[in-house]
Amino acid sequence: MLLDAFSTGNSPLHTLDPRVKLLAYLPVIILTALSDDIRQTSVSLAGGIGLSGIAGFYNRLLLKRLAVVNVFMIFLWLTLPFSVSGEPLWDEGPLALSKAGVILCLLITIKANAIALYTVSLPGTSTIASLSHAMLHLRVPKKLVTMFYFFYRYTGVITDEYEKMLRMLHARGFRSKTSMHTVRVYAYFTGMLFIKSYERSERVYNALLMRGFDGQIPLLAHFNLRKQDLVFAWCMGGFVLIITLL
Amino acid sequence: MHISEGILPLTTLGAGYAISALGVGVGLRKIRNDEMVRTAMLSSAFFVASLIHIPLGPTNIHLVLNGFVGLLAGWSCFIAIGIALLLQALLFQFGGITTLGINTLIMSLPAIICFLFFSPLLSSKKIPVVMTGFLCGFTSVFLSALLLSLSLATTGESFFPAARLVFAANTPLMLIDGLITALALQFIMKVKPEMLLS
Repeated sequence: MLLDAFSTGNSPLHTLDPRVKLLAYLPVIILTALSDDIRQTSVSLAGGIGLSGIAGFYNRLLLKRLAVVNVFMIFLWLTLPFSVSGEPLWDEGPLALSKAGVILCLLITIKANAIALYTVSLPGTSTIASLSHAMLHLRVPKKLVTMFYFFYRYTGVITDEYEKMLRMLHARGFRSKTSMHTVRVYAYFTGMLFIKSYERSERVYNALLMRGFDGQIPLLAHFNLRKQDLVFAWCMGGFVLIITLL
Repeated sequence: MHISEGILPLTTLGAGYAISALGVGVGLRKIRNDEMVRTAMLSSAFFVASLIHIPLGPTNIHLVLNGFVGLLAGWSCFIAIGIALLLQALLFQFGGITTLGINTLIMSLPAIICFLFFSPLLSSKKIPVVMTGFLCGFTSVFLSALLLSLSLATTGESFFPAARLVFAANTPLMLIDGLITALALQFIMKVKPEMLLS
């Protein structure tokens, strides 16, 4: 399983300093998440669409990721237009769609998609290793970042274990269906997965200890800001200002 | 169980971050170096276990197992669950960064409650392991669904139907998660009891 699928590429965004990307990312998503204005959020969405274009992501993978975001929206579209009171848009029998409800749904859908696009194009264009590194520079607690990095590093390994165990089940003729047998098999499977991760963590910790691990991974390489990082930071700052002033 | 971006008001998002930061802070203070790798990899297993889909009639549901993680990680469960949700928000657009605090709270608070309540019950052996496991799995998902609905409801009265719908949609998960936690716990008690009783 390739985890950071968007981090490979050679667009201008991929080569930016991850610290700058994180610092540009946070204000723009917070502003978008908290805005109640359809114009502000639409401009933000346009910005997100533009950035993901610069990153070269107009492909099926991006559409698949956006589909995930919009599944949750179905819940809202099914309830909000009926539960928000206001001027009716369409009134027939017991069902009355309110205009305010539809606008609220639209607003939330725009916001969620805009933020997803920023996530893919800003932190998404860096590897998790360099993001962890950037988080250390931005004073996130060291132990937390170290654990996040271990977690990321070994999720790939545990996923391989998971796939191996699944192949083994199928090789022995297991077919999953709605039955107590399936539940039992998956429960033991889950138990085994946690036991494997526990046992491997003991080995990894011993190996780390032998190499002098003291609860953190020292920073060796350092980032340095280049001209394009500063230009990008100014552009994003200007963009956030424009949205605020709208 | 995730709330996506752009729905909740600032107060709910802020409160989520504040309480989760407290939970993570307590976890970081208590954790020893030798538990760091173990908890991080427990978090990997938690993340990978959510790939398991249990068929249920024409559809299927995926496991949450936050109560189970609570039993295994104890006070570190805010960290274990938080880092998994951070990765999901960054890489898979599940949940989100502004909602990371509240989503972590929704999953981890029930996990801590289950740890505090069911862990002593497990070591006292007053009731069978399977029973403790079922109650733990059921309760954690029940409380999470409740917290999820409550936080949706803080957005305003118009979100009450959505909140009820989300809660109702999670009821089958409570039973499935309860069953899986029960049997998985029984399995671990047989195969590797030191994971639970350390």
